[in-house]
Formats: sequence, C-alpha cells, structure tokens
Amino acid sequence: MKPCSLSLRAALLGLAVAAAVPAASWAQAAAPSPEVMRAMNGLWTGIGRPPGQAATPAPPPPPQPTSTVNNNRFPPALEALLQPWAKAGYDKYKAAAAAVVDKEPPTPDNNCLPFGMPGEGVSTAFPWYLHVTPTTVGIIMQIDTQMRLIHIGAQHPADLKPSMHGHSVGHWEGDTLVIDSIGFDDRAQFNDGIIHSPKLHVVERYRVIDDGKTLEKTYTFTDPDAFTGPYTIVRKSYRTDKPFQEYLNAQNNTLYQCPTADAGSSYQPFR
Amino acid sequence: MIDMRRLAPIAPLALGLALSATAAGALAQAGLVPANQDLTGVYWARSVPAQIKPMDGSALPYTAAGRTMAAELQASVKADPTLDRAKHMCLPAGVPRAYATAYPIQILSVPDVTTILFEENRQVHVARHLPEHHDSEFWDPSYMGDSIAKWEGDTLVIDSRNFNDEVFLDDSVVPHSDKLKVVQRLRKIDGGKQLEVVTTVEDPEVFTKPWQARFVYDKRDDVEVKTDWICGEPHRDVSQVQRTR
Repeated sequence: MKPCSLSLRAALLGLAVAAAVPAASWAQAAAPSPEVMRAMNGLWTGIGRPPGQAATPAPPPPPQPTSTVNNNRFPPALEALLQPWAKAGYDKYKAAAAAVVDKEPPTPDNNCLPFGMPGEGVSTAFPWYLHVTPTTVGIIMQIDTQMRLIHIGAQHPADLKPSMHGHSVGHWEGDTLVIDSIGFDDRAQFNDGIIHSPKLHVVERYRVIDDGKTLEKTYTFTDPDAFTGPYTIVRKSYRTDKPFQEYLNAQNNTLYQCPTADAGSSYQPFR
Repeated sequence: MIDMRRLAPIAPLALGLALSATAAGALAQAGLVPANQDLTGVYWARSVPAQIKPMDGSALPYTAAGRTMAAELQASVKADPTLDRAKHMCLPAGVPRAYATAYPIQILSVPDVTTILFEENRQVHVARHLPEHHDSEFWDPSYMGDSIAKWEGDTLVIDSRNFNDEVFLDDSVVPHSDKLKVVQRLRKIDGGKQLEVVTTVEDPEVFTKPWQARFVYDKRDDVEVKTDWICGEPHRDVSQVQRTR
C-alpha cells in the first residue's frame, strides 16, 4: 500500500467515523457514582507494581494475540498481525533505528511531535494524571507534557480532522470507563515503528482493582488496513507518589529537527 | 483517489454528532466537587491583549534594574526572534502570558488537583491542592512553574513560582527574575457564563510593586479543546477573537 494522499486520508477517516460512531445509548449511559470517579482519579504510573508489593518473576509468554505483559513494548503478537505494507514500514523503521548511533530512535516524539496514541497510552513509565469528571476525562501525561480529553456521553464529530491523540468519547459500564477513539494522524505509532492507517479504531476499558491501587486498562485495536485482525492488550498502572514534572522533548532535544512556527514538522512516518 | 461523492451515504452520520448537551447536563449532576468549586469546562476569550498591562491602567512598575533587563532582553529577541521559545518553538509560555490566548482552554476540576489545558502550544498547567511548593532546591525551574492551589469560597487561588528563564511575561518580552511569583484567582462570573482570571505578578527585582491583569473568557460547552498542537501546522480559525492593545 502506498502512502495515503491527504484526500484519501480524509476519506478513510470518514469511513472510520462511520464504523466507530457509538450507539446512541452511550449518551444515555448512567453516570457513575462520585466514589467510582474518585477511585479512578489520581496520579498513576505505567510500569512497576503496586506499592509495597515485592517484585515477581516475569510472567510466562502471553497467549496471542492478547497480551498481558506489563512493559513498555508491544509484544511480537502485534507484529505478526501486520499487513504487508505495514510490515514493510516497520522493517524500514527498524533498519533506520538500528543505524542510529548515540541517538534516540527516530520516533515522532523524538522529532518533538506529540507521542501520540496509541503508543503513549500503553508504554509510558512516567507519571500521568487521570482527571475524571462527570463530563470530561483528562489524561495528563508527564512524558512530553501531553494531554488527552475524553468526552463523556458525546459522539465523534463527522468533520473529524486527524490528530495524534485521535478523538475520544467515553461512557460508563458500571465501574468501567469505556473509551472509543478514532481519527488518528497516521504519523502516530504504536511504538518503535509500528504504524497504522487512518482506519485505526481503539477501544479502551479502564477499571480500578486491587483495593484502589491498580488501574487495569484493556486496549483493543482494530485497523483492517494495517492489521489482519483485532489486537487486545492489557496494561496495569499503579498509583504513584512520584512528582509530576514538566517534561518537554523540545526543550533539550538536539537529536532531530523539532518543528518551528515557521517551518512546521519535517517528520514522515516510515512507509 | 476516492470519489468523495461515494461517501454521501455516510453524510447522515454527520447529524447530531455535537456533544449531547442533555446527556452532559445529566452527568454533571453527579459532581465530584462542590458546585461552586467546579470550574470544569471549556472557556474561550472574545478578546486578548497584545500586551498584558496592569488592570488599573498604569504602566508596568519597573524597577531601574527591571527596566534595564527589559531593554536588553527585548533587544536580544529583536536581533534573534528564536529566543522567544514560546513563539518560535511553541514551547509553553508560562503565566500570565498563557492566559492571553486566542485559543480555547479546558479546565478540569477534581478534588486534589486543578489542571488548565491551553490549546495553544498544548500547555499543561497543573495546580496541586496542597499547602506547600516543592523544594526549589530539588525542583528544576519550569515553563509553567511549580503551582499549588486552594479554594477561597468560589475562587480558586493558584500560586505559581520557580519559572525558568526562557519565560517572558507577555508577547512584548517582559522579563522576570527567579523571584517571580504569579497568583491567579479564577472564578465564574455572570451566573457561570464566564470565567474571570485575575493574575497578580510579584517580582521585587523587576517590579517596584505587585501588579494585576484581568482576563475574561466565555464558557463554551459547544467547543472541544484540541490537544495535539504541532508547531507550524494549521490550527483553528481564531479570526473572531479581537486583539486589543
């Protein structure tokens, strides 16, 4: 598959909207109790273990294509699902990354673009805030000081423009927050070079477990152009008292060209 | 190339895709925080100042050293505009400059934290509801400063300090020292239809006395803040926002 033209991207995005517009009942979903929202609010970190819990041996290899490995890499199961054009892009990325000496990998964030979904959601070890309000949920990430907004009870707009974080709407199913996201800029990537098409559709299910210490996040990725089937991954985040600090790649990054107001970004995904 | 006319069948899906105000209203009743201390929402200014000036109409109360610092810094930025990192690199502008934005902002009020998300330059302003700042000896200066907040009735008072030296106080390159402290008082006005932010700037090395600036925004339930501002790429049309002197 060749790189998408802008018009094709827009058209494909429109089709993705058509496929992913949530049922009207979402908007009518019951609000959670303040206790449920309060339990999910807070500062979380993506990698580690619940405070006070001893380290455990690495888990056994996960069943595929669903993974529960809790680290900052997508396991090979996702690579196995790549359509040929996406695999070719991934191979180009890996070759480029392997050729890098004393530099960070040539990812969007190392080019000072937003890290972007879906990679950011599952792979950050830095603290991130979950702000849960009745109408809007905010995910505020220390890594590159990024933010996502989930519009509760809303629907995806028809005139959606692609963005690195996509457009997210949410509803509650009991104590589980369900987030539906489409409209991704295809410069965003899973991580380390796994790319997607404008048809990417992400459903996230967040719930608090382990007496409030752990946030379990289940992601399901569907992209008929890039993957041969849906891919589900489970990640756990843990409450943290690590300080949330400003962190900006553009502040110190001397490895790649950061976009400027005059020149924009020169970053192109590997295709 | 796809024939866009073939996409006509999905056009009906465009209908009714705006935020369901009814649903949002129902959900809002399940609030986490007292109603008079809930600033959650989207706000958008109708006008923004080209220069942030004291709200009492006076000139900036520079000290002699502050005036010299301003002249030197302004000359440097004039010679090399890339020194204005907020404008050139879209890095955070700090406060009060960030409040003078033509783009919408999102506030999220939760029990222990208030966060202000500025669409412009994707700036994140996190204010923890705690009594003490981080120890500045062990806390790096930052663009948005180290911020704590508390409620005084229906007014959220944010106290920000420990800014880095790439922050200017406004677009005209007003400088600061490491003594800068910016207190921001946020409250709903006009029955909740507007948000008022009054900032008090205190920096004894640059100014002879604290000075205040005022910003007013309309509450805009019909707008969603975009979160992936990329420098140099197209952004929303803000031509309706008036630029005032």
